[in-house]
Amino acid sequence: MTRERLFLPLADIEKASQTALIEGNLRLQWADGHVSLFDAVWLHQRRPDNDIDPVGELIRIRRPWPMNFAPTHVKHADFMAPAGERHWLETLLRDGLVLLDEGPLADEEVSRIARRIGPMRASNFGARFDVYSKPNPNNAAYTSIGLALHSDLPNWRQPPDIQLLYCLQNDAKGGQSIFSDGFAVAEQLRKEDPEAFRTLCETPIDFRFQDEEQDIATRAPIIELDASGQLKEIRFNNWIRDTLRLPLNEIEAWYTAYRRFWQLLHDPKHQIELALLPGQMAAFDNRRVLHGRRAFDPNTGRRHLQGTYLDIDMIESRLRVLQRQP
Amino acid sequence: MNTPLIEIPTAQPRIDMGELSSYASGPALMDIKGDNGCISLRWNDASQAHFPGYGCGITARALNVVIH
Repeated sequence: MTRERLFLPLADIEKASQTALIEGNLRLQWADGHVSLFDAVWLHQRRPDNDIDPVGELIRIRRPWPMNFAPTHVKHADFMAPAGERHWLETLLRDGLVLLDEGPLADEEVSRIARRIGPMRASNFGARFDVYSKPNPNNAAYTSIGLALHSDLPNWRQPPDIQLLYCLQNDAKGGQSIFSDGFAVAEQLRKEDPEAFRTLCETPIDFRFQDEEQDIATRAPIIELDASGQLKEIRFNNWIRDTLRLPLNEIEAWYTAYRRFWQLLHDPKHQIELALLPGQMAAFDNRRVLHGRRAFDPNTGRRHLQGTYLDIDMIESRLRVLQRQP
Repeated sequence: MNTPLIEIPTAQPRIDMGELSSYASGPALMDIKGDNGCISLRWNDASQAHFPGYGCGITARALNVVIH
């Protein structure tokens, strides 16, 4: 049973000859004798004046971080029960960042958590990646340098929606994680400097990753709006921002706008900083919340995170499935 | 008048989309009323809805009648 519509409404239909209420559900008998039994809740969800998708509403009412924003923490043990998992999912959609605490120090736990929700989204770094300092890195994340705020993979036409970063070890000095609500800061830029905001919205630039085996590039603006002017996406990653291919008379204005946005994002009042504990996982909306880290000293200890990505469709799907339960 | 509802492969049971599980808990229907080509529904949580076009078959479309 596919649960998909096969009926084509190409001609008028005679009205049902009989209507009845059967055990709280609607029964219609059509002129050709076919009987339809419509579930009361299914009908209730589809009332003409009803929002058919309350989960979709969660996406539309993303809550910008207030000053002194503190992320919600959910215990791993609670996450394993439907109510805790729902809380975690709803918070992720609303705030764009949620922490999971007191998880096991187990290799691949991040993959087990991800698969509970949906298939992991693979990239050129694999479906599940390790973040630690390693020789011959092909990404700044695989060094010990500080990473300024950024979004992952803006060089992809469709960057990953949700990132999970699970801490297995964090003994090194430094290495604190930093996060900033890119949407809240972009709104501030829109208010303080509308011209800079407009420039970053209306100027596509190049993003490109190149190594021995891949060359992944796209062209898109730093800030993308939807048809109604609402924020849709932030692409922000200075490492893989390619050279600026713009008309000469636009370059200076673009850099001015970019610098202004950078300064606002990196203003400490727009950032939160935390040291991920072993067994703790940060989940965030990669197309809204920017992330980074302080430099760490690999000679003082080991810092090892495991990460993966998920499509936001799977976050919403999981939440809808969990909401079937009363 | 023949309706598209009967243009189906033989021996295939017809199942309407709303006949399947709603995948959610919620109120039961308390009352239905066909009225001049429309159908009005009232649930036991006091919510109600008016589906238009009952007589000319639009309701069947609004209710996503399917053939499987």
